[in-house]
Amino acid sequence: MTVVTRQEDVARWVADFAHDLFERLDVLAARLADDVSRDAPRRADLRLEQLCRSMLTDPTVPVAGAGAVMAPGVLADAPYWLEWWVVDGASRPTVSKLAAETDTRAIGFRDYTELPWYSRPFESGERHITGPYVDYVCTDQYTLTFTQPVHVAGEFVGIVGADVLVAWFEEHLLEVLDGIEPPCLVVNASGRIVTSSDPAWVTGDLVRGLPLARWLAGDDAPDAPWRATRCDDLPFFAISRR
Amino acid sequence: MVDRSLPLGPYAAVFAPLPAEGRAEAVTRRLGEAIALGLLPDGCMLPHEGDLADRFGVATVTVREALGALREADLIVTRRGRGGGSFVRSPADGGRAAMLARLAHLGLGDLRDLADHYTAISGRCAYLAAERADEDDLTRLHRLAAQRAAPDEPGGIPRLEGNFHLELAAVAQSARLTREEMALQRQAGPLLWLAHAEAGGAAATTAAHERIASAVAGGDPGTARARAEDHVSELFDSVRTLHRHARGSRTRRTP
Repeated sequence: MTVVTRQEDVARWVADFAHDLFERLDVLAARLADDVSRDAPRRADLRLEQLCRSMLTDPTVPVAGAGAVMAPGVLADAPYWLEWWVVDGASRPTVSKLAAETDTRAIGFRDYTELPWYSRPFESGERHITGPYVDYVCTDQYTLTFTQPVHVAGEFVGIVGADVLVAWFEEHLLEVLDGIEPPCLVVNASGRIVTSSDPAWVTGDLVRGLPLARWLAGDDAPDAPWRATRCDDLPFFAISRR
Repeated sequence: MVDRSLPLGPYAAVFAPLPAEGRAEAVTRRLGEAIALGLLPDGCMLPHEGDLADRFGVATVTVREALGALREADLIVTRRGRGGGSFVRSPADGGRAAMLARLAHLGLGDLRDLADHYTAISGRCAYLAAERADEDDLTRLHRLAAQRAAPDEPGGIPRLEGNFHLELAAVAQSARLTREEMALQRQAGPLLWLAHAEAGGAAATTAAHERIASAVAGGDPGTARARAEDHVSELFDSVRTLHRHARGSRTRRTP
């Protein structure tokens, strides 16, 4: 018996992958909300390390970095703060804390509140996926960053998130895409290719002229040369030539 | 995005681990050169001693020794107490002396080779950026191209140059080209840009960035590449002019 993979299955796989990851982020978010619920919380009150470590060392979750990024002024002893862990080495993973500069006068300081993985969930109050993009600040790698806002008593206190290297995502997704006809591409809401089973289209390329706004609005756009299946409620589509 | 934060990429390399021998001297040299060339801007606070030691992979006492040497050379000032730390003090000449000293030891052949390398990287980045930029990328690129350095800020022009070219590489969606761009900026960036500024090229640089950005926005890879290559060639023309002066004065000094 042959299992026929369809574009809908690809979209389902991507949506499931993201939802699994966001469910883990829900746990992280609940812990963070708990940690900062007390009066004048400090850095030492954050207890995210074990959760992040288990996520980073779980071989079933291809996560390269995970943690929380605080809204300015939430912590009593640091105006800006990243509580973020990264993993290095695939066979023997080593987890280390990201040494980010949080002194606003220092050379390496970066105002993260302007970056899309922070600003978008802050503005929309919803989950966000940034990328694929070259993360030249941190990993120097081609990355997807999954983030979601955390609120305490209606007040935004920061974001929790996880980095997935595009290469890892691709490696897993290509198995799903294998043998699918016609070839299928996964693109983000800008038309940027995450993964493709068509050798003519590669990761990072932009597919121009896609009716992305119509697709996001739920319109099939039957006049377009591409047929799209949205990955559930995510800003991603599995697409193939009509 | 707050723009002072953008150059963290190349800055990170300033703080990368060091080889074993002569470590205090190596720390002094790397930080001293970065300050002299304007890569670390005036008034910026260096990371704390322990943090620096971690980043360089040396002992805290080694860092302390290096900071002492930098203090004596008047390249940093250290303030104690709350809000204290070591702060960068850019040389009054904006790094000119350090740049000329470095130039005088470069051969014309080395310069030409460096120009070939940087032209290839910049041109290809611009080409790919024109193919691959989305709306958000273009917004960032246009904003960087439109920025002007404050006239009293010694590291201003190199930083804007560095930011623009780094962003161009990132917009090309290539992690490898981005890392290569960072390495080239580390080796040659301040030299190029200060030489160009010396030749009165600050306005030309801004115009060149805007021309590159508009070719990228127009989705015209060939034009974007040609403009980026022309821009890098102009930078190297300035360096060659300055190189003649630097070599000339060195020769005259020798009896």
